[in-house]
Amino acid sequence: MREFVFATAQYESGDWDSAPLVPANVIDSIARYTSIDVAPTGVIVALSSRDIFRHPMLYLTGHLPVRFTTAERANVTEFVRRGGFLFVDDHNHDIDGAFHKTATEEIHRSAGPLVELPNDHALYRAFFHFADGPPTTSHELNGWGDNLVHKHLQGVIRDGRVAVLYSNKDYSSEWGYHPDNKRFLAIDNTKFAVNVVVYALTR
Amino acid sequence: MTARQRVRRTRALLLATIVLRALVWGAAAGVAAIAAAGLLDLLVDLPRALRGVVVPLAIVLAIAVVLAHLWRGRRARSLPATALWIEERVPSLRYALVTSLEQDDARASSLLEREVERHRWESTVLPRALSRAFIPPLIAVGLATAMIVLLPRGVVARVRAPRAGDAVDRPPIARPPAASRLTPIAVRVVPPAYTGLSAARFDEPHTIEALVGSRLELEGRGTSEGIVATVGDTRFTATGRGSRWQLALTMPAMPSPLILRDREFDRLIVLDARPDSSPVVAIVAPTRDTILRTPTGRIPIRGEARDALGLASTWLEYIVSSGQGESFRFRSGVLARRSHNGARQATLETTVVIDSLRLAPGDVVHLRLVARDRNPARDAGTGASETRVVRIARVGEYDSVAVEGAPPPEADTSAISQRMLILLTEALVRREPRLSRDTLVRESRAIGDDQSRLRRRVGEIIFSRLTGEEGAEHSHEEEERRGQMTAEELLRAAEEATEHGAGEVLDFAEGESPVVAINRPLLEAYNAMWSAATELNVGAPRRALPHMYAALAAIERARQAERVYLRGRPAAVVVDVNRARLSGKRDSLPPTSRSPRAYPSSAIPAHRFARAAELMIDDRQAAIDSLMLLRIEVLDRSPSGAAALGDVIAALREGRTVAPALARARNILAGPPRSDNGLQPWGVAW
Repeated sequence: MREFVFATAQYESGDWDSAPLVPANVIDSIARYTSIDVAPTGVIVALSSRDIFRHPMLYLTGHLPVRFTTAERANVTEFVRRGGFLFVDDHNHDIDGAFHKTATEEIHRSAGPLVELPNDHALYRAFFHFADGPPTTSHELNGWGDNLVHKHLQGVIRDGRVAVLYSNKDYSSEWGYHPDNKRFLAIDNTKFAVNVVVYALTR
Repeated sequence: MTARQRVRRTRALLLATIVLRALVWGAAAGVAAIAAAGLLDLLVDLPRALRGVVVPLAIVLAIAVVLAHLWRGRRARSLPATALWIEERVPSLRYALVTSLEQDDARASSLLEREVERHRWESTVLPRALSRAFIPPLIAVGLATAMIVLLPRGVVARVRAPRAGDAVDRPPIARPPAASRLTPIAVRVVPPAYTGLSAARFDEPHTIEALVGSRLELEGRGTSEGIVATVGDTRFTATGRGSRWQLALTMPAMPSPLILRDREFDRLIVLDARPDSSPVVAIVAPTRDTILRTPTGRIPIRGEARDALGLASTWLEYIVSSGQGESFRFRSGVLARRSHNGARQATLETTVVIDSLRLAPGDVVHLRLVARDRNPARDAGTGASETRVVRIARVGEYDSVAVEGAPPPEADTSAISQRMLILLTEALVRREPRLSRDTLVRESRAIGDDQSRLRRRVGEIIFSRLTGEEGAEHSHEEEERRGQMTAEELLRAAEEATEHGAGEVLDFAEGESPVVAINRPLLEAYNAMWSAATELNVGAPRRALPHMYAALAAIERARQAERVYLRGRPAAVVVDVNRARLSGKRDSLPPTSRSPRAYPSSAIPAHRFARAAELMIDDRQAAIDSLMLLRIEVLDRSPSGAAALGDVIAALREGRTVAPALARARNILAGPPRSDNGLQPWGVAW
């Protein structure tokens, strides 16, 4: 069995590389809490390339509008159809912002309609147990972005599993620090990332 | 009235009778043909194509019968023939009538006229003969009409005006009460209103292809009691109308099986849902993204849109992103909205006035063309082109914005000059045997002066880099002194001039100071040029050439060094997985148990295909149903595979050989041979 490689999706429009430290932080958490054989560094894959099909999970974020090219859209459709898991996080944390509007539109066009995930969804029990649903982020609580604490994540459901996970909670900012600094946190805020990865690999 | 006039009148009546009788016979033949076809259709289900030619054939037959009767009565056009016809029916005339028509003598003629005058055949013979002429055709018409009237309702309509969906109009003959009411059925497909398409009817469909959201109206013969239909988890109950049952449903969003049930009978129909594709929009101009130095000007936008069912409107959408880092603001809007009223194609042209967008340095404008079809659903029917991005450069980025032509780099200028000097020196060396010593020395010194000027230029470059000031070697004495220094001595002097000690600025490779690392090639060139100029000044161009070559090579190395980017990508964080595993933190959130992951597969299950193939031997209908279900599954992911399965199903239904179609379907569905390189990546089968 090959090791899990955390892949960040690179798309033509927008700032796809806005959260460069998130992959390392998630990889660190996967190594800390699970026995998953994980690669020590993440990779960047162009959403328009066939390389995305080598990865079971893709992480996509940014602040700016997301406009998929034809090849990117076709690849996302195929990726989801083949059982891939796409995690899209609004780094702009802005419910009415350009990233949210454009990313949700592109997801709808390429993968299907987004629905609210109930807070007792299997995603929140995939590894750690989050009884109240998705953990809130400091960016929600301190009033940045849209001044909202989002109760739910959204997802595109395919064959009973989440194929696309969409978050307005700005986990990209929340997890965007060097993993060595994790020791300064009373509670590790990247645990939900473990759930996301484990869910993607096991469902 | 003379005898001739009376015969002419009789002839006219006879001709009218012949024509009328021919027409009645023709009508009888036509009606009888339709009635016979209806009767035949009642006994044997005639195909719609054959029923379609019944009426034209009936008309042809009627015309033929009319013509035949007219041909038979053609002799009535002749007066003698008419006279003979009268003589035949009135023997007492004893050919007086025929003779009177042939007689030219006036006296004899008056005698014959008087003889004919005594006989009034118009009131005796003619009515009886005419009435007898019409009785047979009228009886034939009556019989044919009676047959049509007696035929069951709908039979004549199937023959007279055959149409798709009239299968249920054909009444069964001696249909047992326990027979399935699911055959025959007719389907009327009503596309969504926004498409503007007309409704269509189908007989006995195995597959119904229709747009998602179309209304499907199924109709069959018999009562509606106990007839149900199932699509997915939704159940539909038939309603009755007269002697027929009816079902109405909406085409689902995905290909699905429609299962009809009547007591112990069932019937499977494939609902091949065709989604209304969004309009296709392409942006033709501008062809690529661009960066503007200043937020002014006009950008022409041109694009094309098309939709199979018609476009409703098009517009240009823009989003302006302002800000950087974690702080962004957005503005969006719509320009050039146009209505197309259902046109299949449209060309979109507009111009974006950059000034009107009030852009600032660093702002990014995302432009795309959007088209909407006439689908009223809120989240459907919109297509968009690729996005073109126009960015306004920040002041700090001007060096990366190729707006104005830049002069050639300094090192390039030096290298070209050094090459020219080498060429001049080489030419002088070739001419040396033919030149006097004075001429040689004069020309050699001229080249040497140019070499010295070039050396000073290189020196300026070196010192301007080190001190930020040009013209650091002005003094002739200092120049002389530097010319005799080695590269290291010159470097030390340069470092002293910049008040930096070697190795204290940056930690460079191989222990060199940055001054040495960056300037060593130019310093070598500087020294080689000095040696070359010295040799040229004493009239020894041959000895100068090696130094000149060395100078050129050093300049080349300096040019290469200029292309090294000192800035690079930030170092990627490499997680020490083992260290992380040994220091994993545990707090209040306990891990939950993990469940094994299902092994997803995109391939068609081979065993299901094989099972369906086996069923063909014993239960053909079951095999058809299995293949239809398999076809529904592959409709959206393998259209060619679905088509191949359709061929197999059609071959089974029509009793043809299925082996070739079956092999083709298996080859398509199994895909090309694949090699397995071992275990799959994490939890996924690709």
